[in-house]
Amino acid sequence: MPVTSASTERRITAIGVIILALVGVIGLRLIYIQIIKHSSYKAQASASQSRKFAIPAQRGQIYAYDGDAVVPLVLNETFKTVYADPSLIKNKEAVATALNEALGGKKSDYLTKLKTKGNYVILAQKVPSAAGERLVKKNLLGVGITDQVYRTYPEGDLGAQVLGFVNSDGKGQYGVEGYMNKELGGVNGLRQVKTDTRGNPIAIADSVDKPATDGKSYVLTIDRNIQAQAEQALEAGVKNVRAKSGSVVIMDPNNGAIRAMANYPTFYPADYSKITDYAIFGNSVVTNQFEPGSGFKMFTMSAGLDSGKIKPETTFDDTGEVKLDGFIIKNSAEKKWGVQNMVDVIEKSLNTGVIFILRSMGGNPSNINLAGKKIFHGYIQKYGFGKTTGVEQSGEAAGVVNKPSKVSGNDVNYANMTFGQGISSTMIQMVAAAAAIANGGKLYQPQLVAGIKEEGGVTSFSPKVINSQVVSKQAAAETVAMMEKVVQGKYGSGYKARMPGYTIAGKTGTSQIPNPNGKGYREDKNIGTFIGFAPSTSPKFIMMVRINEPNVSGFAESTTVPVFADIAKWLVTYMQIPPSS
Amino acid sequence: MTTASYAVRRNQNLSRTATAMRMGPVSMSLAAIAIISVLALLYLTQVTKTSVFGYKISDARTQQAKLTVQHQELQVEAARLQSVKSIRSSQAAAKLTTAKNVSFAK
Repeated sequence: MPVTSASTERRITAIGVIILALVGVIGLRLIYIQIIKHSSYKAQASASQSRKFAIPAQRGQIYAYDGDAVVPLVLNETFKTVYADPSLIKNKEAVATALNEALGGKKSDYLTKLKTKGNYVILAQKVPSAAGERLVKKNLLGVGITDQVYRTYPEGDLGAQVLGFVNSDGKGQYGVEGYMNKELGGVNGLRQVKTDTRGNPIAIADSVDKPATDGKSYVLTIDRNIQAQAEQALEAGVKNVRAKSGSVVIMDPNNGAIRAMANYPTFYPADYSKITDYAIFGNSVVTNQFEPGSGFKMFTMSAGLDSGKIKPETTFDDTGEVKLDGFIIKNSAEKKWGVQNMVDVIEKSLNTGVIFILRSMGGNPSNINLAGKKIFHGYIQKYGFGKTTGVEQSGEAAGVVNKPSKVSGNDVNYANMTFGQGISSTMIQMVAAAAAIANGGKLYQPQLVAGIKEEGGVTSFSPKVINSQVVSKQAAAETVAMMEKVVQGKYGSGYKARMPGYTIAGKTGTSQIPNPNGKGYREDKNIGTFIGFAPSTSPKFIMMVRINEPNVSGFAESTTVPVFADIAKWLVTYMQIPPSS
Repeated sequence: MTTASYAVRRNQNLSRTATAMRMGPVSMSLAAIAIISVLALLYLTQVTKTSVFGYKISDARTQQAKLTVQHQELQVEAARLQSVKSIRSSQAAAKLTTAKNVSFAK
């Protein structure tokens, strides 16, 4: 048996201790790495071995009608964006030449961009896929290519304000794009996969796949032919009277479906970034509230008739003016007509006559009282004024309607309201309310979105009735008969809208524009409007035309009515509306 | 126990032949290594196959994306050709005139 010296034993013990210590250190290190820093290292490993890919949701497309056929107004189109890291490119001249060969464009422009300092420069955008493929084949170091989806408008500027646009952040702005941004946008998906050393996804490892939810595609109630005709006639109308701008809205009075909403001047949604006057982006039909003027008289009249306080044959003595609280309100023609009935009030557009109706609603034809104002206010509310209609457009204005009160000045305000001053409304409110008169008393919500476009067809939305009987059928019919006189009658201001064989009902309005600096109205500027529908007893369309700040003398009859007539003559043929006589 | 079952038992060959081949520890180890190698190879083959399928899926997705883009381009082109402005400026439209007297069949 070998004899072990004490020193050897000590050495062995020391080595044992050292080994044990080393094992201990390694063990502690393992505990630190595997337990304490477990999550951190796991995250690092996962980050280097896996990639996350966003699966972009396809934005819903927007369609319209062409008769019964569905046609696209807004589509998605994928283009390439070419970028470069100039720091990686040594022979910039050669790369610029290659870019010029593949993409076209100026070689000097590419060279300038490639000579910029930094690690990222965009060389070209909206590059067609064929040109992109040519570039990929050149395999240029430091040059990259990526897909970018753009909104495309096959109809150009048709219905620009109705549609709106999508900004560079992919967010819908104005019009339908703005109002229905969430529904159109959809929800992006996510794919997380393990990758190889080149970063290519491999299928052996666990992957997370959350598919994108594409945005919904919508079909508008707009008929593109009516829209195009309205835009063409409006542009001609605005230019004819050298006006600042104009708008047209055409609706089906029997269900609230909007067939056209035109604005001039307009813009190309694809080139929205070139526009400096952002006011052009808004759809004035819904965003711009104004004092509607004499067009409002039809609502005062129908309210008076429905309340039973007046009848068409009710008469009053027109002295040409009404004195109220120290103010004098005159007729626009500044003429005394003497004894007039209610039909004359609408045909001759008598301010004094509609003030008489307000007084009559209060039970005293010689004075305005709170009771009368309350009745009138009730009808204004029932017609939908003072609140948004809910039409599918962003930035809709509600208008302003003052409440009846005993406060000083309220009587004058209400007297003015009877003929459309001291109250503000939008064109869409006016046309929806007028449609209620045209169709016998039913107020529909103006509807711009007809339904959702799916693989199998269109899932249509139903018309929404806001008030099934704003005024009685009789009151509505009597008002319509009076409005016919505006077009057919001797004194009617809508005579330019006459069409042989067709009965057309309508009402003109020439509104004053409030002074921007405070009191009163501008003397030199006005807003002309005309609301009309045909055939008057069974209307197939209702239309409102508005011309802002025309540079010709006269009232709405010379600015808006010709535009109405131009479109209406085309519409009766397009919609195949036979003449009644 | 029945007579038939006795008969079966009687006919059984009850003699047992001892096998001459015996595997020693080295052979056993080699066999084990061989089996493990075969299984590893099988596993690698499957993994490679799966990876190849992964690349194929990736290629198919790229192809799908290209076709989607092409489909979009054709859809847009078709829509442009059928747009109101294209129709109005077409040669066929240039030969048309506005209807003046429209009659409706009653």
